[in-house]
Amino acid sequence: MSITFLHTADWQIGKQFANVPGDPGAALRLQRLDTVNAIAELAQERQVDAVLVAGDVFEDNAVSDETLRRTMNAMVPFKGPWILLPGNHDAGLTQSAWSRLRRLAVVPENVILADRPDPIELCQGRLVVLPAPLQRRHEVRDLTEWFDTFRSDIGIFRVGIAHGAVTNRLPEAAGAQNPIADTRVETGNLDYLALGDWHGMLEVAKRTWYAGTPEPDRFKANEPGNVLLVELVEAGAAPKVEQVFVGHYRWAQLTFEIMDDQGLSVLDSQLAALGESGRTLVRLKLAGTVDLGTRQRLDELLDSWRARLHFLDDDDEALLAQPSPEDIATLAATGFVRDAIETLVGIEGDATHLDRGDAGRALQILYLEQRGLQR
Amino acid sequence: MSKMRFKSIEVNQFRQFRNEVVIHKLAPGLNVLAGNNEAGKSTLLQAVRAVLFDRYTSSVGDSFRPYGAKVSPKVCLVFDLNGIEYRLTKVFSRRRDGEATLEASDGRRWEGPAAEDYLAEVLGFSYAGRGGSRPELQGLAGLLWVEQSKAYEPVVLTDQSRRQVHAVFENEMRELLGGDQGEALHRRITALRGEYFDARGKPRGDYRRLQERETKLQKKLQDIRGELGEYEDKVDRLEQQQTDLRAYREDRVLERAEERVRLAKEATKRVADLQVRVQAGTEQLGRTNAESVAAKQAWENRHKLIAELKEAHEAERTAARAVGEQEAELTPLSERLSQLQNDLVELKSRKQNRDAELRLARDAVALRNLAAEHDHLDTRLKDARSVDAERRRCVSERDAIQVTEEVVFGLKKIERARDLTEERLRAVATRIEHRLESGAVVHFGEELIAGKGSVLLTRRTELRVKGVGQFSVIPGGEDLDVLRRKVEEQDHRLVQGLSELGIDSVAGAEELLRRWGDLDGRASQYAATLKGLAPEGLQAAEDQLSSVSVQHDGLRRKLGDNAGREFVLDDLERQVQTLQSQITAIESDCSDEETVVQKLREALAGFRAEMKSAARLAKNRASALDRIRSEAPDDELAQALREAERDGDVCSRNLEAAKQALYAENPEAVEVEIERSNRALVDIREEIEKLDRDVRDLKVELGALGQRGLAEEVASDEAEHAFASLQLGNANRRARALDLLQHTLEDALQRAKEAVAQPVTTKLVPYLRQLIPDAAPSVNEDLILMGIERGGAPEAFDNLSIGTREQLAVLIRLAYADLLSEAGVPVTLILDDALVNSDDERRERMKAILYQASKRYQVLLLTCHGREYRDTGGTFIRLGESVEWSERGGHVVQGIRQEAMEGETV
Repeated sequence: MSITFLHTADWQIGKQFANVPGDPGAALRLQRLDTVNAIAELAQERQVDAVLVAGDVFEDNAVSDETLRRTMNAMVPFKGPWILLPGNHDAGLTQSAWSRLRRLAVVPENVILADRPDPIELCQGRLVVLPAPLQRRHEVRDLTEWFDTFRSDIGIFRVGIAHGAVTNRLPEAAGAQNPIADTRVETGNLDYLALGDWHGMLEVAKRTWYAGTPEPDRFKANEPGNVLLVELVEAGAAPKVEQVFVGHYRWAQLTFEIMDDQGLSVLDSQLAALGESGRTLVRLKLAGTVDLGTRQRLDELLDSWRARLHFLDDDDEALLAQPSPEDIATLAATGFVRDAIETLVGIEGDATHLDRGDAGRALQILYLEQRGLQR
Repeated sequence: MSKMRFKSIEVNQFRQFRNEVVIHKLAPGLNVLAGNNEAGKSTLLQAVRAVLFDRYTSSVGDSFRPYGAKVSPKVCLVFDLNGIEYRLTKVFSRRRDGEATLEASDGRRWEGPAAEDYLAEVLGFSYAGRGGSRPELQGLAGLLWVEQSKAYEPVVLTDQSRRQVHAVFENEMRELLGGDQGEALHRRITALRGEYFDARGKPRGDYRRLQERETKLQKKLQDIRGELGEYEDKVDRLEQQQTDLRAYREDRVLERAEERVRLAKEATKRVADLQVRVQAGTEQLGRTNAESVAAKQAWENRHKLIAELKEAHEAERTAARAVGEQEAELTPLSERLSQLQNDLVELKSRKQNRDAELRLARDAVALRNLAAEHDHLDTRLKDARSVDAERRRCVSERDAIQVTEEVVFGLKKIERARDLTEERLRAVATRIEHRLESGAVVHFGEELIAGKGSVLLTRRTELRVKGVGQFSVIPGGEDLDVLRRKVEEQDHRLVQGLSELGIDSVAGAEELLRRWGDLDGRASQYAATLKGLAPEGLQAAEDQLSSVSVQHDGLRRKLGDNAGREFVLDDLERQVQTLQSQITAIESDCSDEETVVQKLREALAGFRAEMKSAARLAKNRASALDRIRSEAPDDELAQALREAERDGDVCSRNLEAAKQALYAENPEAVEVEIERSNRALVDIREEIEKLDRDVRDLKVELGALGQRGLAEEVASDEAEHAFASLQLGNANRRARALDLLQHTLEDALQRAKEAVAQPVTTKLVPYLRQLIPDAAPSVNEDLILMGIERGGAPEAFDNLSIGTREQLAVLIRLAYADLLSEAGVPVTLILDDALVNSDDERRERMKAILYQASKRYQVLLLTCHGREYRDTGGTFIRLGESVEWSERGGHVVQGIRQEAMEGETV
């Protein structure tokens, strides 16, 4: 008889989004609890045997009591067992989110705080979950080693749950702390190893999966926003893993070069193609050289999209605004104004000039104000 | 090019001009109107201004009316403008006689206010609302007509004149200055920048508040991060402390510390017991040692006394032996000494005899020597006496001769003088030669002369010739007598000298002198011989002989009979010498022997005393020994000593064993260990208690802090700060852009203004170089001459000398006039004594400049220094100094006499 469970990780409840200021950021923070709630409902709906959360449930051990309570509340829809593992953000220290949860006495009976490396039997003993909780923020040794020596009866499903970086498999950027051997599944005779820490979804080794964060939190295309529905059919056999998207917001990063009005149209259509603008965050890197009129129309276009998207972060450092002959004609600039425009154009064209960026903006302001005066 | 030219001016009943004054045929170029002070130059200029710029009905007209005049002031001006001649006539009066007429050569005519309005339009000026016209209303005339005493003031463009000057290059200026839109844009950008920066460039308003907010949030964020850091540190500390506490308990650290204390205490007790043992053993050993020492001391004292007795006996015996030995040695030595002493006496007696014999022998020898010496001395004395007698005779003879060398010299001198005088007398004497016939008896004086010969006559001499008679011959000449007397005198002195010496001639005197020398030489020879025979003199030789004689006699008497004896002196001397040597040798032996004998005797006495002393000591020691032996026999003492030594050994061994045991326990280590283990126990107890306490406190504290959700606060503050930073970044970018834009516009505007002034500068530069070669003008964007620059140093207009200022004020007006003239604007330059402060050189340059300018437009130069402007090159018009009445053309002309003829140039 098979066993199914949801594998999720890196909820990081309480996380703030400094790079998304204001209301959009606040909405992102609140959304993470809603996503937990969605996971609970999904688990309930799919009637899974358990939900395994592989670390970093909380953004920090110093989250507020209210956040702790809200998290427990969000999990209510699923009545089956939850296994919550401490990660590097919420390491199982003596004084931690976990100790406070116990002291607050808000942990439901079906929620298991796996802050000790002790086996957890579920499903009437058919499944044993081996947790490797981080009890410090950073461990230099592999906490999953004990999986190799733990013995269980034949036919019992063995599932490991850990938080860290699988050796030899992740990019160097993932870091060398909290290492997990890439052969742990074999040496520990595991049917599945549920991992957290890597925010994208990834089968990093045989039967070894990172679920990724269920709610995307950065402009990085590594398939976030999922939970894994894992089905163990037979001990020792390959698990069935289904990717289920539960994320609400989508984070998109675009790099766009604009030269003229036609580019504006393309940009507009690309932004439209993202769809569901209300829950899309966009980081737009702009490059190219435009005349002052195009620049003005670009600003107007971006303003309109800023009102439609959940958040738009436009970086126009690489976009040069240079007055064209038509701009000059439009400005009808004569005398000293024309002289000033030429000076500013010279500064903007000088790659070594310290005021280069300011000169572009100054030209834009001049253009706007002159247009205003003309009207 | 349009032009304006004044052709004539007629003034009547205007201020000081009570009658008509006419200036006509003004030239198109430079006109110099010269007149003395009070001649009416300025009044003339005022009249021109009045007719052009004052309304004829203006109240100011009253001020033009001469005092008490009935007729209203009237001015008529004829001028060309753009090729049309106008005749403008005004009678200033608010009454009916007031009028204004403008007649054009093309037949047009205006009257009253219409004439005035047309004029204002054509010439570009406006009338004053009330009162008289002012320069600022007079358009270009206000700018280019310079009144007396204001020439050195800065040239300022009035609104009207500025408009007219700007109108010349309006298009260029508008282009350069960006027109109204450029100005508006500049104002707008300045205003926009003003929203971000104050006048000093400091942030202001929302921008400043945004910066402050960002700073505040930054601070808040730092603070909350600090709190979170502390919280996390405490979490870590709690973790560490719990780990430590657990380790203490698992390792049973406290129990082990307590066990160490117990063991240390046991060791301490063992050490203390051993220390007691050692102390007791040490005391016991002290006591037995003291007893042993006492026994040993008694035994040693006994031995010492016995030894001393023995030594005393031995010493007595040794001394007795020594006395015997000394006495045996002394006896032969004493005998030998006595023998030596006898030998010495005998030798001394013998030597005494030999000494007496030797003395006799020596006296005998001396006697013989004295006799020989006496004989020798006697012989020499006799020789000496003989030589001395001879010497005395020679001396006596020598001294008898009185002739000396001086005397002989004197006589020879007198003789030579007499001979000389005589020769001279002969030379001058009268020579009478005669050859007498034989038989003739002739006497010359007393002398009979005969035959042939000659007679010299030195005096009157009678010549008697027998048979003839007598002749007196008288030699002539006075000198003859003198010479003759001198010869006689010298003869006399010679004869007298010779007679004193007893001789008859000088040769005799010389013979005597030779005899004197011979005797003197012989006397000296004898004296030398005498000196050899008796060096000390004869008396001494005689004394010596006498002394030798006495000695000889004395010695002879002493020798008596022995005087004739023969002695062998050398033998005697040898015998005495030998005897003396023997005596000396025996005396030395005696002395040595005596010393030895004396020493032996002293030693003998010492030994005898020593023998006596040793015998006394032996007796004392024997009696003492007897006494103490009666108290404690020797064997008893020896037994006591042996027992004491045995007890001491036992005690020593016991003490050593105790010490070894104590050393084995290492008391210092035990002492340190008890201290260490006690301290460690206390430390560990305190540490565990402290850890317990800290863990409890930290748990409580962290529990409370955890509720705050510091991490979320930090994250929230970070978000807030990031938002503020974002806003500030945007504001910064906009502020910097506006700042750059505003400064760029300012700079461009400044350059534009400089460009605006350029046409004026271009016109002014040639004039200025002509006037002040090394100067450059500084004209601002309002076309105002601000000053000049010389040698790179700016000089403000106001700081220049009055002369330079009035020259520059004329030059800038020329520049304006040039520009206006080129643009077709009708201009005329009028200068009323505008260069009164210029020196000769500058005035000359200014005259040349004005003449050049007058090629382009009319220049009227009014001056009271006519002579200095007579050579200006323009038309010269002198205004009369005195009141002259003349009739011309039916008009009465007062006070003005126009010297220049029509078209005349000077």
